[in-house]
Order: sequence, then structure tokens, then C-alpha cells
Amino acid sequence: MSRRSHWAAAVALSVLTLTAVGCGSDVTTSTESTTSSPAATGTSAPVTADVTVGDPWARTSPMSSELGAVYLTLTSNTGDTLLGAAVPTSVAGSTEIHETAMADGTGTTMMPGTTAGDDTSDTTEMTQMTQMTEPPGTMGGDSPMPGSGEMEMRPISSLDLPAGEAVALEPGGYHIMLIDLVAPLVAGDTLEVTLTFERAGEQVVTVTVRDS
Amino acid sequence: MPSPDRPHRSRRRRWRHVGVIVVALVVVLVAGACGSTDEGSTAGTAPEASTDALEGLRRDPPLDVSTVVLPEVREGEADQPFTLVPQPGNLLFVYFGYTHCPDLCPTTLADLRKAFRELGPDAARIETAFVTVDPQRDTASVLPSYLSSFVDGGHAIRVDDPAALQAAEDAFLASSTITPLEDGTYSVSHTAFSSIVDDTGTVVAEWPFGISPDSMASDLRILLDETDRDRAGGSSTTAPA
Repeated sequence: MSRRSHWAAAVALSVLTLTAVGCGSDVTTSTESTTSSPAATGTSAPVTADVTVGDPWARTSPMSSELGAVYLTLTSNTGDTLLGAAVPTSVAGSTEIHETAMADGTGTTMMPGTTAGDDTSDTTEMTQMTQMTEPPGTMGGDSPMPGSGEMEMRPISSLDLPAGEAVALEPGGYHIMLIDLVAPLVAGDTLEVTLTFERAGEQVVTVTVRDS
Repeated sequence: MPSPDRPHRSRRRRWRHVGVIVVALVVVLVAGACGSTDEGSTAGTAPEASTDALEGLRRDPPLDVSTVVLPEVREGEADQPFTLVPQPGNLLFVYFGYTHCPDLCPTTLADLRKAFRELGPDAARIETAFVTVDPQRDTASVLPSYLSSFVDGGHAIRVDDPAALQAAEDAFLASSTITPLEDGTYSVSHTAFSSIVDDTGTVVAEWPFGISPDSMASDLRILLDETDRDRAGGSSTTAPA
């Protein structure tokens, strides 16, 4: 290799390196040394499993609708899995935990956070995901903007709750769907939702109905 | 900074010159590379135009939906053809959704209702059209009452013919898919953005799902001002910078 090409290579190398460093400092987020471990795998922790529930609410349901949605935030101290949710039959016929996601299966949109635990081994009777919607072959070319492809809801069998991490069930992400509402959900009403966790067991949450 | 120490051990003086050049090059290239990245991301993703602070996307060239006509349904009445263009001086909010949609659709409509409250009297100048992508379940007895749960005087749009629905969706660059499931039911997927149409039948803004009520209200104010200016100016057809 000639001297000149060595030189060129060296310059290129340093430019590349420094470009990476220079730009990197703009975009890299500081690495956090969190200790949150992935979902619990049945270890016998000395602390009692407990899940803190934040801001449980349900949207007022349109008069003609038989569906409702409950939103809340779950934080497990030990790491846990939400296995199901239930309401009295005086409120709704059944419930499902749902994920709103891109129809091509690319996961939850508009909502970073944990991924859905729909591939965990301990599936319950709640699972009934039969088929994912294929991406539309007929979609008119360019999508208007990022995140505006087709979206759909899918039932998920469970939801992982990493230790210490607040997992939000919020519009555009996860929600507890109330099916066959007995009566419309009216602002100011409350309803009781029983959440079942793998480790923390059952927990009854009082949910307030509001517009948004 | 990492100096290029590989090729030579002699001629240090020369390397010093080279070093200066390298530094200069690096500075220029780093600045260039980073700068272009920033610009690229702004142009590619964030539609936030700093000139008018519009949160929604302005498409260039804008979509013309003035020829889209679909049936508006009212319970107990015959369908009426509805052109998806608002009354002069007004704006039309258009959303393709369905009533068996407990998350995206009611979130968007509830946020719109909130935005209307923020707008006050000007909200009367915003018309609403909800186009169902699930005409099988969203009949004339369901759709209007669903929409009226959120807004007054909204247009409930329903067409049985899938080709007509798709043609309308294409005009807005929206889409939807009905997928039969094994249990005899079906799932519905759909684009979840909203479009704002002005009185010329031009889509003047598109909102991604999740835009806040505040941003909706702010965008609608800006777009109403532009509509007023266009109507006053007459000749001006483009959005002011």
C-alpha cells in the first residue's frame, strides 16, 4: 500500500470515528443502570409481590356502543404478569386485555414501553388470538405519516410487568376491553375491576368513568 | 482525538501539518454530517412547520378530495349524498373508523370534543364526518347516535359498496381491512389519522392518532384564520408562510 493511500485511509478513519462521536453525543441517551430485571421467572423473592395501580379510568361509552375501555398504570415491585381482568356481569358480559398495534404486527404504536407478553408460556383461557391481520395489499402507496398505517386491536393473553417499571394501559396502547356492556358508562360512575396477576394474585380496582 | 499513527513513524513535522488538516476536515465533516441528519429528520418525520406551528401534517402537493361523495345516513330517513367539503368558511374533520372500536376511535372523537370546548364559538365552524369502515355493523340506527355521543350535528357516513368506500379512502390516503376470523366474527384494521378539509375540498392538515386536544384546537385556529384570509384575499390560494 502506498504512503498516499495509507494517509487517505487514516484520514477517512479518523473522520468516521469523529463523525460518529460527534453525532453520537447528540442522540445517545445516557445509559441508565437500572436494575429492573425482565419478567419474573418464578424465583422465590423474599418480598411480597405487589402491584401498584395508578389512575384507573374508563371512558364514557357512546350510547349505542356495547364496548368500553379501561385504562390504568401498573407497577410491580417484584416483576409480575397481568393474566386477566374481570368485571361483574352487571357491568359487562366479558372482558379482554387488548393491544392496539400496527396491523402488520410491528407492535404497539404511539406507546413505547414494554412489549406485550402474548408469547409467554402460561397462556390462559383468555387467549383467543386466532389470526393477525395481514398488511393491506391494496393500501394506496405512501402512508401519510409515520405511525399512520392500519392499526388493529388484538387480544393478548398476558402482559409482562417488569419490576419497578410503570406499564401504562393507555389509549393507543393496551386497554382492558369491556364487551357487551349492560348499560352505557356514564361520567362519574365507578365500576370494580378484578385484576389477576401471576404472583400478586387478585386485586380489585375501583375505576372511575370520565370523558377522557 | 485519535491521530492517524499507523502509517509512519518519521516525518513528524509533516504529520503536524497533516494533523491540522485532519482536524479541519473532521470539524467540517462532523458539522456537515450532523447538520444534514437534523434536517433530514425534520423533513422526513416531524411535520411541525416552525413558520405556523401547525402540529398536523401539510402535504405538498395537497390532496384534493372535492369529488368524494358518499351517503350520509340518518335513522329512519333516506340516505342523502354528502360531499366531503364543508360549508364556505368552515372546516371539515374527517375520520375513517367504526363503532366497535373501543380505543382509537373514541379516543380521537373524545379529544376532538375537548378541542371544540377549547375553541368556544369557533367550534361551530368545524364540521365532523365519521366514515364507517364497518358498514355491516354500523347501520343507520347505530352510526348517527354513536357520533352524536361526541359531537353535535356530525355527518354519519356509510356506504355498502366496498369499492366506493375504498375509492374514498384512496382519496384521503386512508385504508381499512376486514379480516374474517375462525369463530365467524371478523377483525377490523384501519388507518387512525384524521384529515381536515377546507371549503375548497383540499386536505389542509392530517393529524396522527394521539395528537392532543390542545394541538387540535391550536391547529384548527390556525386553519380557520387561513380560511378567513383566503376568503378575504380571494386570489391567495396557498397557505401563507
